Amino acid sequence: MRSFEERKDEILKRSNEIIKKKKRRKKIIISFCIPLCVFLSFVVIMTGYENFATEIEDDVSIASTVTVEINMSDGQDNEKTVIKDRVQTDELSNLILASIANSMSFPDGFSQTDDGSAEDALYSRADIYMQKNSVQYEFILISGNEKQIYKLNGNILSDSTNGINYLLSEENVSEFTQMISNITDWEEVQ
Amino acid sequence: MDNGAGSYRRFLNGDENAFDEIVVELFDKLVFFINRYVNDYHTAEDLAIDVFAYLIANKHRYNFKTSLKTYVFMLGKSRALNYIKHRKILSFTDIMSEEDLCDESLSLEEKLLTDEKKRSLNTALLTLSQDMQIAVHLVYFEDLSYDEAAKIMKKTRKQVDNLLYRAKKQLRIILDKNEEV
Repeated sequence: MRSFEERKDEILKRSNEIIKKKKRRKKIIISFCIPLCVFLSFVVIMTGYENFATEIEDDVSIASTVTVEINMSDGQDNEKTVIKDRVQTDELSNLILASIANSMSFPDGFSQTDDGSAEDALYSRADIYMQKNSVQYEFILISGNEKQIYKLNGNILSDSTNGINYLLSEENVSEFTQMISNITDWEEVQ
Repeated sequence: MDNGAGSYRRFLNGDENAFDEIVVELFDKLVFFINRYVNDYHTAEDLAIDVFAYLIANKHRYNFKTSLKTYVFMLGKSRALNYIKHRKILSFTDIMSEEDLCDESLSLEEKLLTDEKKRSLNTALLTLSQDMQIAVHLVYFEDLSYDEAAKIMKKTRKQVDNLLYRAKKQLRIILDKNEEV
């Protein structure tokens, strides 16, 4: 049996050990867990930021167009204009994007460069009013060294760069026509 | 009598001697109580030291809603059960002779149970189930109320009452037999 003093010493010794253990645990939490939490939250924030930046980059890829070259052809005459005004270029780029977003899915195998049989099949559809004699527009969007070419023939917008065709609604086509009609500065091309 | 709560309050206010008073007041009783579970005096003493060390290291865990004695006995019980479950602490029975242990247990019993009747009751208690032993120990040896005993044993007051009723019934038979002998 321990004497009173021995008991007291043992109690104090063990209580000191418990207190030291508690302090050590606190230190571990401060030196390990808190930096880990900070690092994790940093990673989470950065991942979110990168995703956001990529989304913005995708959105502005066309909107950051510097120059738009428009070629107009009605079968006989060819006219051309170059738009450098930022407001106008952005407006046209956004209209192209919006038209593509609103466009109907285009049947596979049809393109403006197809031979007659494909075109005949396409013309037979009531909602398509592309005509051989109608005015054709070519939009060349230039940003830095990159060029994106879109062609509008009737209500078919062709992405020549990627080889995709879009069937536009009449509303979108009239928006294009209205925008082009506002441009007065055309020069004839031989 | 506040069963050490006043002393503990003084200890929290910086009076180091107050803790000595608590040790003097409660240590042996706690060892005797824990020994009911572990049946090993040295282990019981070791666990009691652990309880008091916890009391110093975690000064503000005790909320003074129960008596300090009840709180200390609750800590003692949980440590005893933990010991039985895990056997983490080195058992002294392997390295000490049973005879020595018996002597020490008896000396503690003599110290705490001055009344001859209580001593014979303590001997008779060993034949009962552990729950009954604990209930009788807390209510008759430690003079705790049924509610305090129930709190320590984590049972309802009614359960403690039933345990004591059955324990008394059995003890009467055992003690009568002993008297006849």
